[in-house]
Amino acid sequence: MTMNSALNAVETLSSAMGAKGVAKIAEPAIKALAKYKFGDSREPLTVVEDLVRASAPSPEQGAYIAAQLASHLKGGSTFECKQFVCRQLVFVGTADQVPVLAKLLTDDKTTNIARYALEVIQGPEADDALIKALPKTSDAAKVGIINSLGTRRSAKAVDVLHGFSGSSNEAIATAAKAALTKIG
Amino acid sequence: MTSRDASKSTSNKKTINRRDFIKRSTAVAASAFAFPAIIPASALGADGTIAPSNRVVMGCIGVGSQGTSNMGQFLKLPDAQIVAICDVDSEHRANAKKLVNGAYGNQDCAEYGDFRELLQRKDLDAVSIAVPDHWHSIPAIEAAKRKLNIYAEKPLSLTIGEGKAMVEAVHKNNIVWQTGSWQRSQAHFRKACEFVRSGRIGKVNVVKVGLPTGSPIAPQQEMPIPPGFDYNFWLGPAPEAPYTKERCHWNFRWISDYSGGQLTDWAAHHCDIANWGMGTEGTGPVQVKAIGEFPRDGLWNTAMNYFLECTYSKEASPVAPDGFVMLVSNRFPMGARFEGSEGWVFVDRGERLQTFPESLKDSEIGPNEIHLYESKSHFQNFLDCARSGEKTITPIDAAHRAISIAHLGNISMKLGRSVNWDPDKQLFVNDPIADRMMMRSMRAPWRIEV
Repeated sequence: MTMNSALNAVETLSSAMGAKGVAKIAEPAIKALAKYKFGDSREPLTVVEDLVRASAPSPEQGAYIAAQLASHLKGGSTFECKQFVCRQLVFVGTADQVPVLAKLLTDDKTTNIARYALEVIQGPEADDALIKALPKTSDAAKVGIINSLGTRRSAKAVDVLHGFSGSSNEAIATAAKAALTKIG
Repeated sequence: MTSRDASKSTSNKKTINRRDFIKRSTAVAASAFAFPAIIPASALGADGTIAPSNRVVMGCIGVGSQGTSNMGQFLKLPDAQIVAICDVDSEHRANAKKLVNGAYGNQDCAEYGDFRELLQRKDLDAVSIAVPDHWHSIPAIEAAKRKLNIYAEKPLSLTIGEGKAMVEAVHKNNIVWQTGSWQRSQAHFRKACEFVRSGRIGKVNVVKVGLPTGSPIAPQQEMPIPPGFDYNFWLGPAPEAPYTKERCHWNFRWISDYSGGQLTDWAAHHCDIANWGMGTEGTGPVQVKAIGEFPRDGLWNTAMNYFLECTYSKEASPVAPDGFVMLVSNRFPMGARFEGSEGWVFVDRGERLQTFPESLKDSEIGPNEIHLYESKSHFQNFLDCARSGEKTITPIDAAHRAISIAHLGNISMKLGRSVNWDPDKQLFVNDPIADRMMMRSMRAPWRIEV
């Protein structure tokens, strides 16, 4: 099944077949993302964007698509694929995807893209994941995570941020102070 | 009813500094309605030019094509003095420095690759900012915190959240802000809006805003970064991405990581005029329903075709007591068209002003009708207000409300559904997914800090 016909099929079948029908179409489209690299045709990504958009009325469909997308964050998919997945999890990500996103926080290559989704997924699970990652990350990544905790107004992070506000690393200290000011 | 649309801002009452000295020692004789400024003799040097101590000392952050154009306008004005330029591209810096030194006949222009270093200077009164949209917020907020007056390019922001933070920073630091939405400084745009605001076309029920169509481009390959271009800094808070020529400088506009496409690029102009005519610069729609067509492949991914239906409440506009709809699309002729119960007004660049009845366009606004803020020169208006502390013709609040329309449209298109908006709180109504799109996570170490 080609990507275009998959998209057309979604629109036709979504209402008729419900979540299970969409799942059959979404799965191959999402699997096809694994090897995407910059410079390739972006059409397979566009198809998945359309699927994500079409899933909006159905939390069940959205949850299925989010789970399928998140499988790319565990395995050997390309960085560009992971980056795309994190962008889509802004729309369909839930607390269920927090654990796999959390694992990306401690790698300097993926920490920023993980925060792209984690910073906006509502709920205490995302706050916990960001806080727990702090001791395991580089100084540069710490600054980003601290910034995200500030943006989230994460009251849970206040104690640990107070600790970082006295850091000998100026970037970490100022980030922590800025985050504490935002949290209030 | 006569209305004076200009308002004074309170001057900074802190310890006198260079900016305060200029404000207190230069009495601007211009009325609230008419600029250019009249420079008093006391501000002139012996040869009749403006004494350096009375010039608005400026730095220019971002000196690519638009930035150099803006800088060139300031170089022509005798009461501006450009002392420093900044760009992440060494070619841009070299070109800009040559222009500044050539204009002044010296070698005094300083150059920076990092805006934070430029902002450390103690001699600045103001900055002109012309950087890609994803970079609009951070330098502006940092400049505001240093009490520098700001002339900044449109669209105001990349996201609604950043725009709100910028507005907060400007008000908190009580600085003067001018947006590069220069159409307001053209007489025929003002006249069109005065007709509408004065009730000459009756109750307005629909405003049609026409903007350009976007374009696709084929997939691009990664290229070597040109020597002298600090690409990592150019990316800044945006996600990591391989360098390719069609990503940067002018064409960032068509990539959603850096901008919102033709919709945001031009909403800052024509939606701003729509707001000015309707008197909705301090509010927004209560619902936006948008559809769009995006490129299915290639590097550029912002909407090519788009249609926004923005619904405004009965309380929003003084000339729409029943509420109104603002339609924004590339399907309409470029410009703003106000349709009322007794006629219509259409206005666009190139001094295009059309009305029904036709006689309307040649009529004069009477003394008891609405007279909007008049500026004869957008850049001079900024300098005059930088000295006086008065509000400019395109203050930041107006810029934020204009571009918020486009941001709401882009969000609606990406979600594939309408969004409900509270224009007073500037929040989505019961919409946690739309809430996630108010702002984007920034690549470390960048953050907004008001």
